Amino acid sequence: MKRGRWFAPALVLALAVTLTFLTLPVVAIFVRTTPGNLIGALDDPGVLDALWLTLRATLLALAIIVLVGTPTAYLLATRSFRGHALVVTLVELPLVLPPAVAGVGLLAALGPGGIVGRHIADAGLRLAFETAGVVVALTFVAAPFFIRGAQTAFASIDRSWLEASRTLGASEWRTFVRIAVPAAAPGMLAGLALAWGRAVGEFGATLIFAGSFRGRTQTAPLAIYERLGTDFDAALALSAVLVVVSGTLLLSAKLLGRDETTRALRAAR
Amino acid sequence: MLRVEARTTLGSPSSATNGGFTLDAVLEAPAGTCLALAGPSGAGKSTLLRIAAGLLRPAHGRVECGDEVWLDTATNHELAPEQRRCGYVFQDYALFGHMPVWQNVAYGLRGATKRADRRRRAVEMLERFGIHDLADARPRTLSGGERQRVALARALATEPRALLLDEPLSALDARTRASASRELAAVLRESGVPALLVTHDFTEAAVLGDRVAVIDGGRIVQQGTAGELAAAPASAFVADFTGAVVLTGVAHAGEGDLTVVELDGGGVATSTDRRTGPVALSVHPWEIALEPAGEHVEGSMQNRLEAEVLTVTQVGNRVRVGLASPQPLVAEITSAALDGLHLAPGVRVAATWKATATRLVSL
Repeated sequence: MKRGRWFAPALVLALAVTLTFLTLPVVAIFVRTTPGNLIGALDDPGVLDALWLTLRATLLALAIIVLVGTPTAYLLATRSFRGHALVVTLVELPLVLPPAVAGVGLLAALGPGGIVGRHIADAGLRLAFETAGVVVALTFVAAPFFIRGAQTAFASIDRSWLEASRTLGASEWRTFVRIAVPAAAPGMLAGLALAWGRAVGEFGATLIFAGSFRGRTQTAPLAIYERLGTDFDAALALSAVLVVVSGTLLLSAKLLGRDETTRALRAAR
Repeated sequence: MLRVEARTTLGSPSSATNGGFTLDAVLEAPAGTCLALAGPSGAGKSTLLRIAAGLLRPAHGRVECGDEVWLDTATNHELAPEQRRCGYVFQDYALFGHMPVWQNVAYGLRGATKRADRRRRAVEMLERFGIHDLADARPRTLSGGERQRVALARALATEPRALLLDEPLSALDARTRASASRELAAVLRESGVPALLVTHDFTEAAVLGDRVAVIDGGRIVQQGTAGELAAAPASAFVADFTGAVVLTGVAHAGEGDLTVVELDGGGVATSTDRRTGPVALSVHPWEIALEPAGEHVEGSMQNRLEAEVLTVTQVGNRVRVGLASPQPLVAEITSAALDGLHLAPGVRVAATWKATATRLVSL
């Protein structure tokens, strides 16, 4: 064999191994789930409760993330100040934090005896082991995905657009609403889809901070875990649903964030 | 009258040695006139424009427009950009890509709240520029010339108190530029408000500005009409900037009232200007005539330098001839004059011009 001839086939082999390894579990879920037991499992009120709770909790978390995260991302993208890099790193920390650590941290902060949770409890509000706690955990782990996407999108807006808006008589608030947010919308939506994907799959932080109580804090991933030993078919069916949800979210993130939108924006300048 | 006065350090303070420099300038544009601010890139032209618009706050400065004070750092008084009402045309036009053309123009409309009203007024404004059929187009589908008109229409729709234009023609190709320049000159004449226009091109400044201020290194080095600047440049920089040929040498008094300049690198030139010592000599390319080398014809041309042709470039009905003599020279001659000379790179010729067309500036 001539020198160097082996390299290209080796690359292809590596890709084949990677693809097989990464898709095999997903394929296995669908191979082992017949449409019959999928529908059967979805008849189980516990499974439906888990899916319904996942939908409500993730949407509520996303609403909080967008409301607070959008102005945060805009500030980080358009202003420079001392400690900017540090603030960005702190905001990104939950991305690399082990979910179990996030759960323990949330308990220590917002739990019944936590440094802030104590005072919340005095006011008669409970977060830990309640549905509200699920929303808190999801918000914590998913927020950085949105903020990063939105920040990049805001930063890539041509500064002269924002300045033009000001010279045309628009206040900074109006410039934010009429120019910055619409221009950054594709990137923000892509970040939102990723954040949603992360929230739907959240397991560790939720389990530790909110527990796994049916109908109250048991989201779909927790329901899967609970049924593993007793009802593997139900676990498979729920998994299949989550694969479809996650795949759809990833695809929409790709479509929204793909180069075409950015190219169109750039061409418009 | 728009008056901008600013003294501030540009670039980050820590980089004062490399790139950071002090901007120190006063500009005045009376109502209905255009002051062209001309200079090389990095001279501080756009910075002055941004200070006027309120997009940048100088360490020390005062901006007045008519009877309004927009900025006075001495009393800490500052109006936000949106309160100043100045029509700003950005270098790349900064049209909002997510809005159709008419919404771009309607963006700064004052007093109209109903959508139909806003659209009608925006289209009226577009009609003035002959592009009302583009009302529903997206900016990215427009040509450079169309974008420039939309940007102007958008700036004028706010009924601005002053117009600020940042290199408004630089994004256009050479063919569009001539017509866009004529249109822009007409708009500036009709607007009736003071205008400040930034350009790095002296010709553009001469065409569009009633007066021209040349800025270099953050300072205004000369102000006047374009004709004044070309006829009597205050420095070698201004002479070079106006497009004149600039040669350096040492001057001493010669016969009669003439000054003789021993040119660096060889050769002698005479001028009617009186200077002694190191000088920059400037002469406009169209003052320089070419004749075959060797055969000197007695005439009124006191200056004659033997030179080698480097380049021959047709510009419209004229020909620009680049020469090495040994300092570089440029002559502009008519195509008719070209024919008898057999000009081509490498041919030796003699460049001649009058002593009266020769300006001297002390170095």
